[in-house]
Amino acid sequence: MPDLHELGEAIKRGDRDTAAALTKAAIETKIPAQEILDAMVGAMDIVGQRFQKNEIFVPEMLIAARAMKEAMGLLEPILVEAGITPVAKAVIGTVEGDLHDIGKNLVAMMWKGANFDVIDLGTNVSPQKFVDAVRTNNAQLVGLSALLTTTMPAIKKTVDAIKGAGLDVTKIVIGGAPVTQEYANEVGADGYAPDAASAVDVARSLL
Amino acid sequence: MNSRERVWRAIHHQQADRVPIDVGGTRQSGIAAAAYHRLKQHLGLATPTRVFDLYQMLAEIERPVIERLGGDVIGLYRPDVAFGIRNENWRPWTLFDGTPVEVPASFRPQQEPDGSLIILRDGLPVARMPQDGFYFDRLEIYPGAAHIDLEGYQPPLLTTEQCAHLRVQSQCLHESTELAIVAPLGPPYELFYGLGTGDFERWMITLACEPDYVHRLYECLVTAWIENLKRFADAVEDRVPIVQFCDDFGTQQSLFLSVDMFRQLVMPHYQRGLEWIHEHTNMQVLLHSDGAIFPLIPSLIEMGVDILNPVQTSAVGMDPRQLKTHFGDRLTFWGGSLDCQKTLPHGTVDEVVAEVTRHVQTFAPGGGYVFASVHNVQAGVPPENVIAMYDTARNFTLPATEPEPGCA
Repeated sequence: MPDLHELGEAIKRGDRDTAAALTKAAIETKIPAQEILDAMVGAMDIVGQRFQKNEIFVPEMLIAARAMKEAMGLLEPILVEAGITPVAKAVIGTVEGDLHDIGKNLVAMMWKGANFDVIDLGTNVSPQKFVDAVRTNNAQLVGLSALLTTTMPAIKKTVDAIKGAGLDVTKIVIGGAPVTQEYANEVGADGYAPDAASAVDVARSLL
Repeated sequence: MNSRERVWRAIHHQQADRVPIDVGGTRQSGIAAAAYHRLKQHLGLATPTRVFDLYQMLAEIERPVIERLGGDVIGLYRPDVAFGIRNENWRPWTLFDGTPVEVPASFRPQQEPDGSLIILRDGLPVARMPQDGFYFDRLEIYPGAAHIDLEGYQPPLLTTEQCAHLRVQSQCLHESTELAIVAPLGPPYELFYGLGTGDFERWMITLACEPDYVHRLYECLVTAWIENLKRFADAVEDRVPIVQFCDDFGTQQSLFLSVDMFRQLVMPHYQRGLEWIHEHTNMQVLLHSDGAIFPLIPSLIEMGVDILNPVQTSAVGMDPRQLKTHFGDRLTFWGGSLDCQKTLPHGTVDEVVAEVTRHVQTFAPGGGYVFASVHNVQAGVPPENVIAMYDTARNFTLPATEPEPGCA
């Protein structure tokens, strides 16, 4: 009987090959897809908590996410068969005028690890492009990122565009170096995440 | 006391006549061309504003401005500061926000259909500025991100022409000013952060999973760095008291990598270069690293870092009092002026004065402190705040120093 605990451990330490092998074995022995998924998401939650507590750092978080991605790739068809869908659809991107994406990519990765379907629009994304993507994908969640004090105003423009397009049900989470909770309140965003692991908690609390 | 002596005293942990100040002596303590132009208008200076750093669109800070703001430091640069473009034959140009500036003649970015600007080097795109943007961002993929084949790899070396320029320029700055000269000369690529340019995630995974490859890459880069240091030291002789290298080890919340990983993977290689500097020159080593790096500082000191910039006091754990108490006897702080993301751009003059006073009070007594903005002053920062920031530091009254024991 494949060990889901071991699968979680393999993800936590970023052991991609073991994570994939154990996922394959779990699928073959007909362990319910939901249980396998829960083990994976649970492991990534712990990775996020360790990151928040400064027990692990970006390199360790990235290899854990890579192991998760590999395992998830194997599980996805089984999830589809079982009618298990992602928790939420999320659109994410760096706002117009800003080409920085390290923080945004970490958030996207942690959201994927929490079983969100993430549509990553990349960098320098116009407000209209965000609006279109939210509408087309029927996204429940949007993540906006800015690194620079000079591009922060584009966050407000984007929030206004999304709310102004009648997409009020979509929750907006913002983050990035100069961004604060006060700024989130000021521009009417629904949440603020200071780091990638918090972005998962904030998103879950809003959904 | 002239500027050079003032800075010398500070970096040797002695109190000077006033707090030494760096206005634009490095590419991390400069002023964005747009903000600089507004500052000059405010000061009634009508000279053209030159963009000397085309990557970050930083202004060349002119002597009257350095003087007005109390600057004690000047940077020594290669003729090609960014993207291999030589800073010469200046011509008029306009920033996206309408600021009139001058740029080197061979800076000829192409405009894309979406309005962004692209810089080509040997026909290939190397950087892009989005429409209405404020900086270029690199499009190149650096060796760590590219996971290059190390067989026969030769990192870039300083050319004879670059060294000749550094010789003449350092002589000129040394003779025509009394400012302390700072020169950037790190490894050909920043060993931790910069090497990941183009695909940071891939580089982080390489760091976590392939230590042998990482050590070999570092070995190769540091060997080239030491060769460059030899050429540099030969060119500038004893005219440059401070050599700077840059990397980034912290986010605003925490370290980018664990102290263990830093010590095992990165530190031995930086240490090899810094040991060469300390053994063969009188230069002090200034490290620029943003972020929440408090837990790493003991390792940085052990590695051979003498001066730390920019001292991002708004990052987690970077409390001025804690920094001064724990490391003030062994490390000079260069920066730490105020919160450059909140107070400087958005605060009132009174708020700027209050925060700068608080920080200078903590950092400056006893020396070991050079005042500088925490990273470059960005476009949009009001000139009044810029002036208040530097004036507060310059006019700060240092506490009277006790005479040295045994002195008559």
